[in-house]
Amino acid sequence: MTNVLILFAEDRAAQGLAGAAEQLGGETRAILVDGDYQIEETLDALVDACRGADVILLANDTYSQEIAPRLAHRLGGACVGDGVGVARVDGRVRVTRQVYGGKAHAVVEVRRSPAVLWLRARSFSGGAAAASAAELSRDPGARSGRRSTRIVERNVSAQTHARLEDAQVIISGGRGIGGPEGFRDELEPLAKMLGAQMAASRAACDAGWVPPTWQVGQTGKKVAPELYVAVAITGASQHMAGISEARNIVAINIDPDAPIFKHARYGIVDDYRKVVPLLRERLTNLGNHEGKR
Amino acid sequence: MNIVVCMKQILDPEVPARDFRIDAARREAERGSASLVTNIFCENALETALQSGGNITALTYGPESAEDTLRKALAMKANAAAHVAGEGGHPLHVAQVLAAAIRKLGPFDLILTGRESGDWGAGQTGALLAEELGLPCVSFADKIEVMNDGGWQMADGKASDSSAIRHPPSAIRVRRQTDAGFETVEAQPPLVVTITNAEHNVPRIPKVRDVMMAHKQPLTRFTVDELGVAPADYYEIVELAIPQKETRCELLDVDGLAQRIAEITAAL
Ligand SMILES: Cc1cc2nc3c(=O)[nH]c(=O)nc-3n(C[C@H](O)[C@H](O)[C@H](O)COP(=O)(O)OP(=O)(O)OC[C@H]3O[C@@H](n4cnc5c(N)ncnc54)[C@H](O)[C@@H]3O)c2cc1C
Ligand SMILES: Nc1ncnc2c1ncn2[C@@H]1O[C@H](COP(=O)(O)O)[C@@H](O)[C@H]1O
Repeated sequence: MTNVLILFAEDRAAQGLAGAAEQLGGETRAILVDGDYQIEETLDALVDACRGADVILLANDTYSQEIAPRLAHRLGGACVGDGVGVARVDGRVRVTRQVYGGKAHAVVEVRRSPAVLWLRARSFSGGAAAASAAELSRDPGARSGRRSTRIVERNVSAQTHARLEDAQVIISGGRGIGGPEGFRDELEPLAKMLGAQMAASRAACDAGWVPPTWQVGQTGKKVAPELYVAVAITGASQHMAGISEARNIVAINIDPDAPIFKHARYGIVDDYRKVVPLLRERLTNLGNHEGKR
Repeated sequence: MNIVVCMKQILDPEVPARDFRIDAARREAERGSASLVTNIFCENALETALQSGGNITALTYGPESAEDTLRKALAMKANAAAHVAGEGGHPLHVAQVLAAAIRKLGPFDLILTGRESGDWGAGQTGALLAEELGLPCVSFADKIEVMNDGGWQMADGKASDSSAIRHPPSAIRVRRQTDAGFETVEAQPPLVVTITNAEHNVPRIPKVRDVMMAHKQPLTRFTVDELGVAPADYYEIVELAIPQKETRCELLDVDGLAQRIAEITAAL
């Protein structure tokens, strides 16, 4: 009998992980890892809580990502991260994930037990198993006695009233925006009109035009909106890796050969400085028109 | 303060998708015409180390060509470089090799890695390295400050003659990115830190003169056998494929696009 253990911090993630657990089969338990997260203490507590499980599932939040490989190591198991599919083949756990910056898919077979996997939780349809979750017990006596670290300050950036991962509409800007002004004066008003969240490519974040929490992609947020408007973004595979679950991608780019047009459903080849103001105007007109009906 | 920065050479991850091929039998990317580069997060890590000031050793595990990664690190002004000859492998093996090399080269106050590599993107080596060495680990950091003689010293990018080199720091303060913003973490050295990208750790471009000088500097060389690392099981890649999906893009004018956007958002 296999034992699957789900470690989660928020319900949305737990549902996806429960869906993955169903695909793996076996008896499933869930533990809520919440509260005052301190890396080393949480890890110590988890090592005890995880004994007996042969598959341990975590989501793709920062904390899960940093915990998973260390937990695997302490339990004598192996970790695979960023999974979008799981299966059990001849008793062995297999994980599907993107590699080479999203340009290829690999199936990775785990050769140690337990298999500690962090998954893109939202890529799995929800399961039922997480209904009865236990809280992680933090028995201070269980500590490994290792030196610790302390999170002494937590800063939450301005745009977190709604999480990017949950956004239905996203307006995203790239290096071609040219500076923070373009984000502020052109994209933000458009986002406001549409009730959209703002996002960006790595290039725009590295330039310091927008905060790092806006980054979408392989090493940024994985989003799944109904509408993703990519403005002055090339569409490098590492960026696309973050929007593979987006329903409708719209590209606004001055270069007709930009790879983004290979992924977009709708596109405009032109300067965004021309397109975006016109688009706002048209959308306002459409809105007014509808209002009168 | 002594810092080691683990750096990996990879196939250029920005090669366009249309030029990307795989060798399905060997389950890896074909080299093709792509160049070999240093993983960007490793360069972010070196940049972060250079800004916090200290005696910096660049360490790589890889084939002969990986020497280029060390030469570039020296050109960026790492103080020393070490090369473990051999071919990659799964993250546990890599972490064990790096841990063995670090034990020989150390002691170090700070051990830096990138958050993940741009080829396989395992994102594990730093964490496993911390476990192999029995050290705490802070992940996804983008800034490091050191406490010396009772005060926090901000990274200033020109710390080469600062006191940070002479004295081991009494404490280290790390800023790290989270899903919602950032956190400040305090720790005592020695410590493993994995580095992510930010506005202030974009890697510097080495000066031409430093590039030339870097080629003359000696390297410390090891082999995996010398380090006494035995192979271990972890995971295997059993399939590799390029997904075939291209969308037909409908090119529109602004009126058409506004119409589509209105339709999509009205349905929400
Ligand atoms: C390991 C690794 C991880 C990475 N992770 C990520 C990640 O998570 N997220 C991410 O985004 N990237 C990531 N990258 C970087 C990625 O490879 C690209 O370099 C990056 O996405 C490029 O950003 P960009 O499209 O904004 O910039 P550019 O490539 O510079 O493209 C700018 C685009 O703007 C267009 N443009 C310019 N001016 C205008 C105008 N006036 N109007 C309209 N269009 C205009 C240009 O035609 C061009 O297509 C990663 C890279 C590596 C190696
Ligand atoms: N062969 C290697 N040599 C040196 N450092 C490595 C090697 N492989 C991984 N690393 C380090 O570990 C980080 C994360 O890599 P990975 O776990 O492979 O995604 C990299 O950014 C490097 O800092």
